[in-house]
Amino acid sequence: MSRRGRDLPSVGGGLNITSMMDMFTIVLVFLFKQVDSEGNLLTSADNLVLPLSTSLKTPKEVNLSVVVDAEHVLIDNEKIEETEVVTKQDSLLVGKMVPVLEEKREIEKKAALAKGEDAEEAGSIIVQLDKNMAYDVMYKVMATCGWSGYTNISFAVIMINAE
Amino acid sequence: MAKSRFKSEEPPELDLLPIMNLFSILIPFLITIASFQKLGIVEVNLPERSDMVMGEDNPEPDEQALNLTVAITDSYLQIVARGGMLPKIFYKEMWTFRCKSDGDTITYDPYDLVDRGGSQIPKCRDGSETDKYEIDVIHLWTLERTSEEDAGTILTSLYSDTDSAYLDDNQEFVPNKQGIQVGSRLSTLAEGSRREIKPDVFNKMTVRPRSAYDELAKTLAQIHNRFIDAPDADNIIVLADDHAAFDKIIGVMDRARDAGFYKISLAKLGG
Repeated sequence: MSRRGRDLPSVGGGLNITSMMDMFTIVLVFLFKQVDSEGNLLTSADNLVLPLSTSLKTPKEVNLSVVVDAEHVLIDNEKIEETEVVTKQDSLLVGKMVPVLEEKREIEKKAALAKGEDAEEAGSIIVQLDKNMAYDVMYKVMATCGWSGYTNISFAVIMINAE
Repeated sequence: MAKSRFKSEEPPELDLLPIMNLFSILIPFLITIASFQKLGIVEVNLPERSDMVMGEDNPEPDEQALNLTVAITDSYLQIVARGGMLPKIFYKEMWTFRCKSDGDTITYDPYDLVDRGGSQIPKCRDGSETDKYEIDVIHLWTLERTSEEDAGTILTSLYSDTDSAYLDDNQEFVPNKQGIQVGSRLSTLAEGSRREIKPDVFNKMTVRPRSAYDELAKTLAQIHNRFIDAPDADNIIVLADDHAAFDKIIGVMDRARDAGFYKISLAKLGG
């Protein structure tokens, strides 16, 4: 009896974590692959739901992104205007967005010149809109981007048949 | 001496604790930065700044051009090609919400509620109300209307388990399972998809209200095949009214692209 009591700790001691290590290794490899293949050129904004689409296009490079959620219009994660204001205004151009976008466009042009590229090439922008956003807001934001020199406009979507 | 030699021969147990520590930090970190939804983009064409100003020297309308336009309103889709209007595709919009509390779905017709003179929006089981920005799916149920006053009857269609509508040999939608059996030959909207119905496929078929998107996809594919020689055979203009949800625009743009019109422009419906 006493001998058995002495033995127990040595049997139960030292948790066998080999199988857990196996599992963790597999999960780790899977996650690394996931992150790597993503490239993360486009990250979804937090408080909006993007629409589903059958589009197979993915962004080729990092673009300036405009996010329109239920409350705010954001350019590069900076709050610019309230969505409510955009909905109510009659003008096609969102006044507060224009100077911000034009400034960013100028910086992009300077960077393109410094690299020896064509500075007058149309600027690209990705607009992330909530899937229940009204067309009115979408059109105004689009018009503003076009006015400010960003004429290659793309909309972010969630791919349904992504491989 | 003998004892120590025996000890050195015993395989040393690896100390996995530091690795475990590393793993338990790495895994949560990677999970947070990994996104499991693959994001893509939909490109639209925008007129250049100089073109945006309406000049008086509008070019002469091209007789050969297709000038395809799809208009989206809150009750119908309208295709306009070569200046002619195709029959309107009437639909009834149905909103489906997913309750945060129990994952239950609620489907209702938003215009019905407004018409009834109240905003009795159905509530979730826990009493929480649904918000416009929480619409999960917008269904467009195709209606058949015989006259302007006719409220319309909902058309149904046979769907596969992967959500594709079936077409018969005359390129018409199959309204129900009548006359369809194992071995019948049916196609879907995808090209070259005509094949015999296998028993397992047959059992998974469902009859549901026909989606106006499918109706649109079918018509657009026919137009694309017929006017393949037009100079602007790949162009389409999507018009929508102010209240159309972004999701509907993307839905229409998807169908247009699938039909072969990949140069999509957006415009606003007046009024």
